[in-house]
Amino acid sequence: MTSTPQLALILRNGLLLMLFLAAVNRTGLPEGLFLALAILVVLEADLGGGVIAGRERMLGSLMGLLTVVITSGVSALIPIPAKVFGGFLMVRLFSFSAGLSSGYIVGGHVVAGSLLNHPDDWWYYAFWRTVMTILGVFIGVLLSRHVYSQRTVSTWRRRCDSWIEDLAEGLGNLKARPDHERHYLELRERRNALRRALPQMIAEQSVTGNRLDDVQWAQETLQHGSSVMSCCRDLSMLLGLNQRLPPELAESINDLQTIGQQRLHQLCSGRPPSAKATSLDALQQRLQQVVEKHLLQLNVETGHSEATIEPASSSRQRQLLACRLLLLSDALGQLPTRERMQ
Amino acid sequence: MALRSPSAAQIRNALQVGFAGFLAGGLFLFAGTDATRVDAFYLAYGVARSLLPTPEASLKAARARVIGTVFGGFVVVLLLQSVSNWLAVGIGYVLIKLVGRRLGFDQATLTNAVIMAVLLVAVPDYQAMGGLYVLYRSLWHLAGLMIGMAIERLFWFTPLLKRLQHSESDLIQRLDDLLGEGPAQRHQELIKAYAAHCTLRTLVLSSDQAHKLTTPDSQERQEWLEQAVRHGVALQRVPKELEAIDSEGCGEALHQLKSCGGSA
Repeated sequence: MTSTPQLALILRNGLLLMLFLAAVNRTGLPEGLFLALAILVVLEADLGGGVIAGRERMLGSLMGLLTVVITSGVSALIPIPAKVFGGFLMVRLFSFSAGLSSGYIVGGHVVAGSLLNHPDDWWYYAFWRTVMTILGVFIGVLLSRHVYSQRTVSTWRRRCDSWIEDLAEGLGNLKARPDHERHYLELRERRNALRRALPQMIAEQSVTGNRLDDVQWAQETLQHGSSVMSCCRDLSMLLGLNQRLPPELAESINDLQTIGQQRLHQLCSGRPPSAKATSLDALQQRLQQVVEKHLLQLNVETGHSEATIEPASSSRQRQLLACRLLLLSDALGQLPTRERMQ
Repeated sequence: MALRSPSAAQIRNALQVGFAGFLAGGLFLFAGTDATRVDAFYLAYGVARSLLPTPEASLKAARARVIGTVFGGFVVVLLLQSVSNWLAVGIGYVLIKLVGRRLGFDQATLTNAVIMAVLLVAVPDYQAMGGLYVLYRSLWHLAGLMIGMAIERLFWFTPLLKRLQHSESDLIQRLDDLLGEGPAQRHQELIKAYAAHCTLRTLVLSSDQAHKLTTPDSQERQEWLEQAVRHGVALQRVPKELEAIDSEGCGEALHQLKSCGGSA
């Protein structure tokens, strides 16, 4: 995010927080402070992240309320340390059962606040805190969706485009990369970061009501983009072994690089496929034949002419080269186009 | 919302946090009636915030809570000297975010700072206490977080290097299953498990155990693991007739890995 939208976002959140705190104070809502805090938690992230944070806070508070009812309701004679033991134990177990990944913290706060800070009015405190939290989460999601909305999908798309652009650059320089290992490790890290952001996209779609195409597109892009990435990494190593390739095979690899690059650039720009990009199907067929002829046939003649692979290259390397070339062309063909995105 | 049974690790975690809460409750009782006056209940808040999935996450969260609370409190207490309350929240929020980012604080620290600002402005009692409230809240939280982290290290504690070794064994098992036509796996899960392994390895490399991973044997071990995982992932992507190449590659890398010395 550039600095201007970040500042605008900070100003939005500051203003909304101020207005809601003033409003809950003026209306005298019971435990209204927690309404403002829940709104804040949702607004701090983008829409998808806010939905997840809000859900964790809401369910965590509910688990906390349930625990407080059990621990405080059982008997007033149980000493405080035993109550806290039971309360903390239960709130974590309930939260884990509900699949929460951080909501147990706020659940623990509901328990701690009720048992230690509000032992005489625990029901009022725990109940209204939970109600205000739920209300705050709903208001927060509504605001996050409609007031200067920051969509996970937009950020994800930008980062994905940059990743694909760098994949295209890697594909174009298969032989000429002395630092290829570091380059591909860095690309892998970026792929992992994109993968980690998928739950936010799914959460965002659950409130925007869009069709699930965005998530499916993202998953398919990651899947086939990952194949392109790992093939390029292996091919960089294999083609860097100074083996002399038959001209027919070398030409097909060059074509695959050129057409593959065009396809990747076209995916980022969202332009319709050009005439060259659509020739990927034809290239795939030609590559299959060339690979079968020069790399996969067991009776490859060695040492006859320049049109064969050097004897030093092992059979396994030939097969691996064949495998990665075919997988690369297949993955390039399967990468989904942007037209499916909303 | 589908309910699931907690894992053994989660049950252990719940017992740990329960015991830490028991100690915090005992300390709260021991402090007597004065404890409420100095907000000692935040001791239990600190415990509830500790004992996260990993000790590193607990430490990070503890740092973010304490530093955020002090930072947010400092900004808003100063601001309240000159601005009336509701305006102080808005201005305080903007100041905390802008100054905090400049100081290099992470998102969690800044969120804790803002929560502190909200509490100071929204609760008249806290506002009246001003800097003293910031002090009490920070110190009790610190004490609670320390109890939690002490319990984390006393019971069922697994050192970082051991966790890395477990993670490596888990990956080897997954790859063995894959080659032995064991339970079907999706390559995404293998990628995810290996990414978690690499993160753990980075943590060990930045710890005092780093020397155990920088030996030639250990580095060779990591290279074979990387090879095995790459072939394992590719094995699930390539056409069926070409599977043998990656299957052999994965098997050989695993064989080399298992015969390698050094630490995971």
